[in-house]
Amino acid sequence: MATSQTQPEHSLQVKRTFAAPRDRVYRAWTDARQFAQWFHPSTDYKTVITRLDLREGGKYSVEMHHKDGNIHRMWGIYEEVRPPEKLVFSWRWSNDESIPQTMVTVLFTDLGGSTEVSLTHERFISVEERNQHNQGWQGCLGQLDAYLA
Amino acid sequence: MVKYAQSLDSTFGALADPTRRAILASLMLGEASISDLAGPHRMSLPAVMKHLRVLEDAGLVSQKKIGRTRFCRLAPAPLKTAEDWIAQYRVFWERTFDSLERFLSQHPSAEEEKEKKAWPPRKPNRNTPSR
Repeated sequence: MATSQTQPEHSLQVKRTFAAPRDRVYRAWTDARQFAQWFHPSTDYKTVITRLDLREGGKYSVEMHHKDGNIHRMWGIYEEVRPPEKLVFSWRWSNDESIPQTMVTVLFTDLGGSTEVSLTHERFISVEERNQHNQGWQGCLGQLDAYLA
Repeated sequence: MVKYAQSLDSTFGALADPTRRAILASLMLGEASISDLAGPHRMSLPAVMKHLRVLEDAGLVSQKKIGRTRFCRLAPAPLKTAEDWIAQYRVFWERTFDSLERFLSQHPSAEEEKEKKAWPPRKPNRNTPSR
């Protein structure tokens, strides 16, 4: 794939180190049952993974059920699946098709017992969108930390 | 009318289960094999097939066999019937909003009253809420 043409303000990067071996962290992202346990910005949500076809070209879809009854739905396609070090997938909100597709790259680095997750989410159309997703990811990675503990 | 009621029963009956709703959500992305559908759930294949049978009986899912694999696909027609049924009630809540709107325009807040008395008026039609 060619280098990204997006401006830096239209992408975000989050890095966080988890006190768990890389295989375990990778599984938390790629096993549907584990993914559902933590993939939400806060404990106000319950996540249902409705599809997770972990292969290049395979689709995933997710529902985040807020306790007030709202459901956020999203889906995407795995563009790169390289266990246990890299995932690239597209990201699209089903509730609002007017928001263009964005791309997520997750790198898992083995730090000997712990694992650094470096996440890049790019091609946002506005700084506002970027900031909202940044907040969302901060929440999600906090949930992942709690899940792995 | 009986047929309509029967199909509503089977549609809402089929929808009244989180696993079956998750299966429908998965099929929104296109056709899937039974093992694709079972993948995300902590469930055996026979258990998933049982749910699929309920969805199929309700006409929400159709299956076809290609080689030795069964593929499922979403059949949206019963959802349209269900949506039409729900839409009848839209009239009710829209009417509620209309009367709220009327109430608000007939009972302006004290602040709006003050503004009305102010001269010259800042904006015409201030009390007509726009939608």
